Amino acid sequence: MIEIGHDCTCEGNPLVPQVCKVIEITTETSDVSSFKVQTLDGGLPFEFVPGQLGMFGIAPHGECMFCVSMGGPDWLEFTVKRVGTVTKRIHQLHVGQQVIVRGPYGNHWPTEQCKGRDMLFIAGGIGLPPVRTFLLHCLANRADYGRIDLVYSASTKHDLVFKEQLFELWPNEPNTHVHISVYKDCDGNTCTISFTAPFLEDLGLDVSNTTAVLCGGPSLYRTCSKALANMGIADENILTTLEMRMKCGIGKCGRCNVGEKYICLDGPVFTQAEVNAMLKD
Amino acid sequence: MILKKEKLGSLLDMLAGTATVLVPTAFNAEGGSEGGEKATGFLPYQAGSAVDLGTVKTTRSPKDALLPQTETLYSYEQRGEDVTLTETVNNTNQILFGVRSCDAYSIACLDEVFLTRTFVDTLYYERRLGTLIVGLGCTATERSCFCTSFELDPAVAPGVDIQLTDAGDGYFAEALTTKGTEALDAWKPFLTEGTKPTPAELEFTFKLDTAKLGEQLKTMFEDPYWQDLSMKCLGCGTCAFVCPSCYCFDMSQNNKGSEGYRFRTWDSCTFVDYSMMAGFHNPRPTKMKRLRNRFMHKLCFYQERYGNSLCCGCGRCIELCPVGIDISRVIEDVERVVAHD
Amino acid sequence: MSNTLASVQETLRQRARTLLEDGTITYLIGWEAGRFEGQTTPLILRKAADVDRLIYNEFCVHILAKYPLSDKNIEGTIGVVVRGCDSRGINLALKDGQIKRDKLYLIGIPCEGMKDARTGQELKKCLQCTHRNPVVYDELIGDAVEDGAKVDRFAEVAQLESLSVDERYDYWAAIFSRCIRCKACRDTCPSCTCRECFTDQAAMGWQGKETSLAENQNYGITRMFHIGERCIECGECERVCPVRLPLMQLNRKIIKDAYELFGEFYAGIDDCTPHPLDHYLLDDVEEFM
Repeated sequence: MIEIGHDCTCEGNPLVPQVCKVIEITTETSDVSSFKVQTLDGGLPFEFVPGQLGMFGIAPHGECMFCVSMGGPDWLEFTVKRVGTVTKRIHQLHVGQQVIVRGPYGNHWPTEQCKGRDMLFIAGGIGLPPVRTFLLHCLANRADYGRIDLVYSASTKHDLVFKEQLFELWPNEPNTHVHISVYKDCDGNTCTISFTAPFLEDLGLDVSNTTAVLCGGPSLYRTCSKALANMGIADENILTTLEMRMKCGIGKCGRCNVGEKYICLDGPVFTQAEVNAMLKD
Repeated sequence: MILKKEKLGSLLDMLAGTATVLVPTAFNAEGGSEGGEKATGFLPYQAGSAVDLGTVKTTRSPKDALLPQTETLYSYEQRGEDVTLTETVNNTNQILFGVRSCDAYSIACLDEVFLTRTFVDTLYYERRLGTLIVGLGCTATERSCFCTSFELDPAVAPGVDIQLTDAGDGYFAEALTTKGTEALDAWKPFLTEGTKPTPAELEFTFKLDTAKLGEQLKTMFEDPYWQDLSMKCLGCGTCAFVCPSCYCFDMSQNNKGSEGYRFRTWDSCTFVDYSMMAGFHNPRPTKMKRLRNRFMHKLCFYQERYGNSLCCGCGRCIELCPVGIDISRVIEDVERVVAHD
Repeated sequence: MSNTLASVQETLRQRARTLLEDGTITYLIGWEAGRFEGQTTPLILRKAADVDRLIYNEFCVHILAKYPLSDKNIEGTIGVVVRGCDSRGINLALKDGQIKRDKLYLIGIPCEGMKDARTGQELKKCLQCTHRNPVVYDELIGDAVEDGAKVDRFAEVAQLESLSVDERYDYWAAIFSRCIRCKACRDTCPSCTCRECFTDQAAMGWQGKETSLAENQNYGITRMFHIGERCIECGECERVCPVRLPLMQLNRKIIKDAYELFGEFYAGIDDCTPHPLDHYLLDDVEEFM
C-alpha cells in the first residue's frame, strides 16, 4: 500500500464541507444572484487565490462547483446563475440560512506571471464572475499591470452582471477601459449591439504586450479565441477557465477530464496553447 | 508454511472471529437463470459458506470492499436555518481472501487514485488501512484472461500482504509485508512445514503488445473507428461495474424529513448523465464520445497521469459485455488502425 | 431446402454483398465472430469487401432490433438481419413511430433457437420463444420453421404465484439485492425507447442513485410496469444481466395477467394492432373501479 506522500493534504475528509451562513444576497439579473458566505463564527470559509474553485450548496439539495467570484477578509462570494435543480434551490436562499461550502480547488490565474503586462479581459454573460477576481486583483495592485481592457457581452442589457461596477466603478479606475456589447436590443439599451468577437476585433487594441483572459460559453470561446489569434495574440498569452461537470473537486471521481487533465485539479485555468494540445471531446 | 486445504475451513472460521473475511462465494448457489451459470463475488464468510477459491475471476470484483458501490460520506440534519453535519466513521477491519493478481493490481491502481495527487480520500484510506489482502496465485486461466499483456505475474499478486500458492493438497503461505507477517503469526496453528512449490506454468489464449498503446491511441482520437465501435455499445454500465479498477463515482443525497445523508455511488462514463451539466449541456453528448473516453481513460489517460495502464487484463468486461465489445480486440485494432493511417 | 446454418450464412453474405454494392442499403447490421469459439458480437457492415466478416450460426444471441433507432435520421437505408424476436422489436418501433419503414431493409431468417456457447445448451429465451419466423421482412432466407414455444413459458410464473406473499417478497428481495444497476436490461430492451429514462432522473427524485434494496426494487418494478405488455419476450434483459437476475419472470407475470384480463396478445407481431393497455374498450374489465 502506498505511503501517504508529502504532496497530499490530509486534514479531515476533503469531501465533507463546512457549514457556513449566507450574509448577503445581491440580485444581479433576473436569473443571476451573488451570495456572500461566511463561517458560523464569522470567519473566512477558506483562503483562495483568484481563479480557484469552491463547492457551494445546500445540504439537502446538493452542491455545485463555482469559481469564487470575489473574496473579502471574512467572506467569499459565489455568483450563481439559475440553470439546474441545485442552482434553483440556491436562488431560494435568504440571508442567515446555513449552507455548505468546501474548497479551494484547482489552480488559479497566473497573477504573478502577468505583472507588467496589459490585461485584456473578455467575458460573456455568466463568464464575468470567474474573471472578476483577476480583474479586481489587478485593480488592487494597479501599479503592477499596464492598461486594462474589459470586453463584456450579454444577451441584453438586463443580462449584464455586476452593473454597478461595470458602469460606475471600473470605468473610473486609472487606465481602465470597459467595453460592453449586447446581442439584442431592449428598452433603455445604450450598449453597442454586436456579437463579442467582431466587437472585440473592431476595438483596434494595441496587443503587443497583452495577456488576454477569456471566459464564456462554447460559442463565445470559439469565436473569441479565433478573434484573439487574428489580432495577433500568441496562444501562450491567452488564458481561459474551462468548465466540465464536477462532483468531487479533488481529482478522484473521474468525470471532469479533458484528455488526461482534470479540470478540478489541473485546471480550471489553462492557456490557449495548453487547450490546443488537449484531446478534446 | 503450508495451509492444508482441509484446514482452510477452520482457518476461515478463526479469521471470521477477528475480522470480516471476504472470500469468493457464489451469490446464487442454486445456479443462474441462464444455463445454470453462477455469479460469484467476495462475500462475508460465515460458517458453512460455499467458498469458491477455484473460480479464476469472480463475477463481481473485490473493488466493493474498498470502494463500496454505495457509501455514505456524511449525514446532516436541518433544523430551521441551522444545519449540523455528522461525518461517517469507518471502522473497517476486513480480510480480502483469495485475491488474484489482476484484482491486486487494480487495488494498487485505486490506491494511486485515492491516496495520491494532492488529496487523500479519507474514507478510502480508512478502509484500505483496515484491510488485509491475501493473494492467491493462479493455477488455471480462463479464455479471456490476459493479465500477462500488462506484464502481470499471475502467480504473485502485487502489493498483497500474504501470498498463497497452490501446492496440491494445500496452499503455501508467505508474508510479503510487515502487516502480513504479523497476521500470519495467528495462522500458525493451521499451518504445517513445507516448501514453496514452483508456480504452475499457465497457458493464455492470447497475449497483446501494449508497450506503445498510449501513444498510438493519442494519434487515433479522431478516427472513424470509434464511431462503428460505439454503434453497438448499449451505453449500459456493465463494463465499468464489473471492472476491478474503474473508480469513477457520483455523489448525491437522500432526504427523509429534516434529515438526510450524502453518499457516493459507482458511476460509469458510458452513462448519458455521467457528464451532463446543469441546463442539459453535455460535453460528451454522443455514445461515440463516451465510449472513446472510456477506452482512452483505461489505456491512455490514466497512464499519462499515473504511469501504468488502468486495465489489468482480467477480462471480466469481455465476458460480460452484453454486446461483446472486447477491450482486447480494441487493443489489437489500435495497432491495425494506426498502421493504416 | 433445409435451412442449414452454413447455407443461410452463405446466402446472407451474397445478399449483403449485392445490397451494399447496388446501394439498396447503406450498411447492414448483423453479427461477426468474437475472439473465442462460439462468441459473437453485433457487426456494422459498411463495405461489400468486408462481407466475409458477417456470420450466421447458432450463437447469434444478440437482438439487433434496437440498433437502427440510434440512426433514425439516416439519409439512406439500414439493412438489418431479423429473426422472429428482432422483427417483433422492429414492428414495435414502427408502431411507436420510432423509425420509418422505408429507412429499413429487413433480411429475415427463420430461427430454430440460439445456443449458449459456454454450455452448448439452447438459450432459455429461445426455448420460450413463440415466434421463430420473422413477422416483418423484405426478403427471407431459408424456409419457415415451426412456431411455438418448446417449453411452457409461464411455468416459472405459475410456480411463483403459488408462493405466499411473504415468500414472494423474500424471493424478489434476494434477487434485487444483487442488482448492480448497470441498466443493461434497459439499454438492450427493444421496448425501452424513451429519450429520457426515469432512471436517469436522479435530480428529479424519480430514481435515486443509491444501490440499496429499496432503490433496486424501485428500478426493477418501475421498469417492469413501463414495459408492461409491450414486452416482445426476446429475453434479452435476462441474457445481458451480468449478475444473472431472472428478469423475464417479472415481464411474464405482466403478460400472463394481460392474457387473463384481455385475451392472448403478442406484442410486435404486426405494426398496427393496439396493445391492451394503450387503448380502452367499453367492455374492458374494470375490477378496480
